[in-house]
Amino acid sequence: MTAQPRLVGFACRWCSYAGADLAGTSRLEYPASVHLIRVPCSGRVDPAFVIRAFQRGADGVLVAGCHPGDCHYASGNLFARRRFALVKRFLEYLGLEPERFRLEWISAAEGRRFAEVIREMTADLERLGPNRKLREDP
Amino acid sequence: MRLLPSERLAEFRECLAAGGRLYGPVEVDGIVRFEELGGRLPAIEPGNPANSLKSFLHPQTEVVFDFEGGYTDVALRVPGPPAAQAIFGVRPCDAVALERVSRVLLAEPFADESYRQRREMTAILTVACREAGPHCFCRSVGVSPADGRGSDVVLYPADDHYLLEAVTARGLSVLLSAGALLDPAGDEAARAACQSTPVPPVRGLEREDLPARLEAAPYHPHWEELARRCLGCGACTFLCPTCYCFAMFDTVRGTRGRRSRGWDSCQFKDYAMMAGGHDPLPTRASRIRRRFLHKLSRFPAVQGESACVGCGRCAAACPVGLHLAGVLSELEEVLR
Amino acid sequence: MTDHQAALRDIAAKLLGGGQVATFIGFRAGLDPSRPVPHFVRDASGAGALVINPFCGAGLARHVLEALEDGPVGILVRGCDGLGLERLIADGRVTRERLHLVAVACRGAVDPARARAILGRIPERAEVDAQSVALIAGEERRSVPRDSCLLGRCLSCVDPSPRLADTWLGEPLPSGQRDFEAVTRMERQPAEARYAFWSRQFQRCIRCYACRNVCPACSCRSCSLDDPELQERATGLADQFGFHFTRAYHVAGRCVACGECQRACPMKVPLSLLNEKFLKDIRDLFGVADPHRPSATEPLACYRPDDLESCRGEAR
Repeated sequence: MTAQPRLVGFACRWCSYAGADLAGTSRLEYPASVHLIRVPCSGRVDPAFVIRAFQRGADGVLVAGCHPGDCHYASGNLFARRRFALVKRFLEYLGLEPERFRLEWISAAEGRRFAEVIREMTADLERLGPNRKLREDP
Repeated sequence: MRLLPSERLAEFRECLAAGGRLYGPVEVDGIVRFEELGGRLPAIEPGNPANSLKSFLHPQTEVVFDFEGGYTDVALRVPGPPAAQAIFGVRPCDAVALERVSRVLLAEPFADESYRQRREMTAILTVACREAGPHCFCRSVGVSPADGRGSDVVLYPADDHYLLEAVTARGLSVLLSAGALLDPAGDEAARAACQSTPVPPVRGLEREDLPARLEAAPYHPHWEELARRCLGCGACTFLCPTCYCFAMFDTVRGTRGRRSRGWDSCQFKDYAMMAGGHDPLPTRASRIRRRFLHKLSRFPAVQGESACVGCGRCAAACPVGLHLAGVLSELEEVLR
Repeated sequence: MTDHQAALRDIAAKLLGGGQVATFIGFRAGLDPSRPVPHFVRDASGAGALVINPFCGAGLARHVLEALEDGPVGILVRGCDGLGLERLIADGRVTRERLHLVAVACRGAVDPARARAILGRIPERAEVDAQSVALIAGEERRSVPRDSCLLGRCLSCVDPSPRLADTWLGEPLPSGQRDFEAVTRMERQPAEARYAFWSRQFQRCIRCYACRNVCPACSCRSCSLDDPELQERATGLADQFGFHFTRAYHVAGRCVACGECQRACPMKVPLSLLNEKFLKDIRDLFGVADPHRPSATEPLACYRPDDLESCRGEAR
């Protein structure tokens, strides 16, 4: 595959999005494959968003939020943890490769971690090649 | 009339497949449906496949056009003309249903162009019935197990051969193209046998005064009774070979998009919703009544024949047993 | 089960006659003896139409929603109906006090289509026990294995008796535990085989919404699946995957495993196999022993601080 994979990331505005900012201001290198969407909380991410991203051409989807215990709204990420534990397994059950969906905890101080997750996921997606499953224009 | 020995059925299929895409009833995952035949022979069992013939002429979803552009210049891309196709192993009731749908969709001056093109590119090869299926009641609505209306070719099955009759010019050319496989027909016993296939009648349906009696009782409490049982799904309408309602919808992706049309069901809430919030079919009872009156009274009033062909799909599919045959025998009792 | 018919009619007549309920929901004979239909009795004199036999296959729980608009409801309840009603009560759609539950233990309902195929004609009666099913028509009586002719939803049932009851017909039967064997088999398939399997199933879907409309957990007044912004009306494969994902996910944690969706599906899409995947994972990940039985807390509406970090890092 020559083109870069398309990775859609939903990042909580309190931790993970700030972590991404830190990666930028720290001039850390990570692939430009990720299209980051800022959300108020990982608990705000409806599994429908994930499905919609895959339908419209994402090769992988990342949901990133505050570490458990650090949620700005106390428990949003704990609901998200349960929800996406099920969603991840269900997507695999439908036949999607496990590497295509990840839930990660990335704090505002973890710019390095953010860059690392994006690098890892991009490498995984490059290895898998473009996603054709669930896509509306395969 | 020509004769096709049963052992040449596969060759006959190959001959049909040479003329375009070929569909027929096949069993997959425990359900018999019309699908692309490929190397399979049509599964000719009593009764009908789960989906109806309309799937191939009036598809569940079809593209009207794709569009792309900005505010002032929009480029449209209209799909090319449909490819030639043949459906092999249709039951007579399904073909008759197509003829009924055509009366509506091909009526001038508003003939449905997409349907017309598909109809012209489709050959219907019907296999007449030697045995009624579990839900069949065609004879109660004036359709015969050997009906040729709507078909291009009718195959009458006998023990070791099929008797073939071309009903239309298209059918004749199909038979000509398969000429090498066909023998001259000796006798026509197979057709006579299908013409006399017994089909259990449905109480109430054969009555001439039924439409008038239904129309006379628009607020009969039995409609409410049916509404309690009905779940309001669209299974009956989507499987019905004579239901042709559709809705248009757009899918927009940035500056690109697609206009499609797809099946709609009169059993869905908001089916008749109009601008201003007016809804002539606001209740489930009104929607059920509409369905039955349309099939048995209003369509016949305009077209001269029933919009039910007795295929039995609604009876097989309805999760709560609320189907035409059942409801009619109930109404026969309560309207007495 | 059939032995309870007289008692059922009697109870229904008393409830309706005494004004305790405005509607009694049960079954009455359909077009043929193997296809009884849900029935709504409105006055005591109509109770004689009620039937109860192993052909009563439809779930009844969902029907209380509309019947309750006319007043309190009496209803015949098997294990599956009971769980469905528990769901509606837990969801705040129905109040327990407005229901009178006439409970009966059920050993499974006969699929009329399969029974007819076995017998070659319409069965008139059936007897179901723990080992086999007897199909009876005229002088003929054929004993066949349960899995040859019961509804799919009954073969995996572990709740023959309802947990809620006001009046019992006979004795309850013990409940069991779901084993999710079919889900485990599916999980063991390679990803490509799973994707091919579900593609084939979803392509058949005609989007009639019977699965949603029959579901006791799908009682929302407005549904995201009706919203063209949230669910495309088109029926391409991606749309079908989206539809089935959404339907299954929206009942995840609330599905009572009654299997009505699969019974209602005219295209035989194995919807239970989707619902059960969520149930199995809820059991395994969150330690909910019987996730299909409604409880005070829904598994997706709560959390534990020490929930396992099941997604994290797993991709690597």
